[in-house]
Amino acid sequence: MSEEFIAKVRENIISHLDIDEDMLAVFSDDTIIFNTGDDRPNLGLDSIDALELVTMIFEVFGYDVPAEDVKKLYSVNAVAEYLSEHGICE
Amino acid sequence: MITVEKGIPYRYSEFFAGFTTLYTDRCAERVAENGAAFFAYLDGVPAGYMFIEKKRGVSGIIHVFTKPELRGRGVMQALVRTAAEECGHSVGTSLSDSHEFFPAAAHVFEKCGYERRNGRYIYRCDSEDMWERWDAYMQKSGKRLCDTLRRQGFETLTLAEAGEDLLRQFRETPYSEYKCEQNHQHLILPGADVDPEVSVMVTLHGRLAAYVFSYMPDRISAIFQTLSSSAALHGSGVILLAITEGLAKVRERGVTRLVFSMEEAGASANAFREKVLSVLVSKRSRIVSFTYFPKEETLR
Repeated sequence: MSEEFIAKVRENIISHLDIDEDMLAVFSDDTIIFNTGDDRPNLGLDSIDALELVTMIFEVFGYDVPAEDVKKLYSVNAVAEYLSEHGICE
Repeated sequence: MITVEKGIPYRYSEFFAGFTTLYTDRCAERVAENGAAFFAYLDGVPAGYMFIEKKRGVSGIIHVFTKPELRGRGVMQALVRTAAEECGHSVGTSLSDSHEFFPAAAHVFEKCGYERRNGRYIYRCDSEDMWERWDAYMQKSGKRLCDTLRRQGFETLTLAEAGEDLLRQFRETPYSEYKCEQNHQHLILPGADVDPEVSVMVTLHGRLAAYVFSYMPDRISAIFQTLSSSAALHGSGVILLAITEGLAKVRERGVTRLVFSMEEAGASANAFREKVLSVLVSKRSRIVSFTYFPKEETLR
């Protein structure tokens, strides 16, 4: 998986989700974006944002994420790895 | 000395002249059919009253009142203690935490052994441009997101269209699976308020994924009473599809006033509701429930 691909995922997540400047200050490729139901710190985005992310993946990368997999898309790296596992890495 | 008597004295309106309202009279009518009224006397003087309605085996205090000049002397306490003792089973009430009397009333209920339960958020939508605002939201992003959900395989149908298999799934799924505070299964029993024509179920590959149950107390109002998704699909946004379809159904019927009565949920679910419902909402409040459980009765 190339750095360029991870950068493309990152840019699209930032531009499509409701990530404000305060969030960007602490944002990294491992930052957990959504509340995953455990105690790990996260940006606290909600399920509408998760749906925005799934929609963005379809529009930008051409892949339809099944509903059951949405919880796997919790960070930039997680999204990039998930897409790579499904044959999308460019 | 405070005494509490059961029944409506024939001079009821005379005793409380100036304090009764249309709401009081309606409550009195409701409990006359199915419930009980209690009157409190302080040293023989009429001091307050309480109405308890019994509906489908559940008792609820729908109105409790103490004359202003006699407040602070234990009248309400005597009434709600009587409710706990008289009913023989759990009895509850709901109070708005934004009401000026809330702290004092909550204190009385808790002192009398009532348990404070999770609250409900009440969102009211009745502005003239409500549907225009919803259309604008759908056009901007809602439709695109619903299309994604449909591509993922989510399908919608009304409760009236639901087959026996789906209803069985609903009945047999423990409600903890939906992370609900209350059991919703009684809502679809015959005679329940829920309107099957405007209540919506969402399925994914034939499995029940989410539901929104609503009813119409009059021809222009709809109350969305319950909104839940399966725990496995929390965070998927499927509730957006349930809300969108539910709104479409009541809009077809000419509804211009909406109330969403939603259980308090986790931070993420609350944030979701705020985001979606803020498109429509003109007022919001929070209702807290207090329930008295007799010793032999367990919580559920």
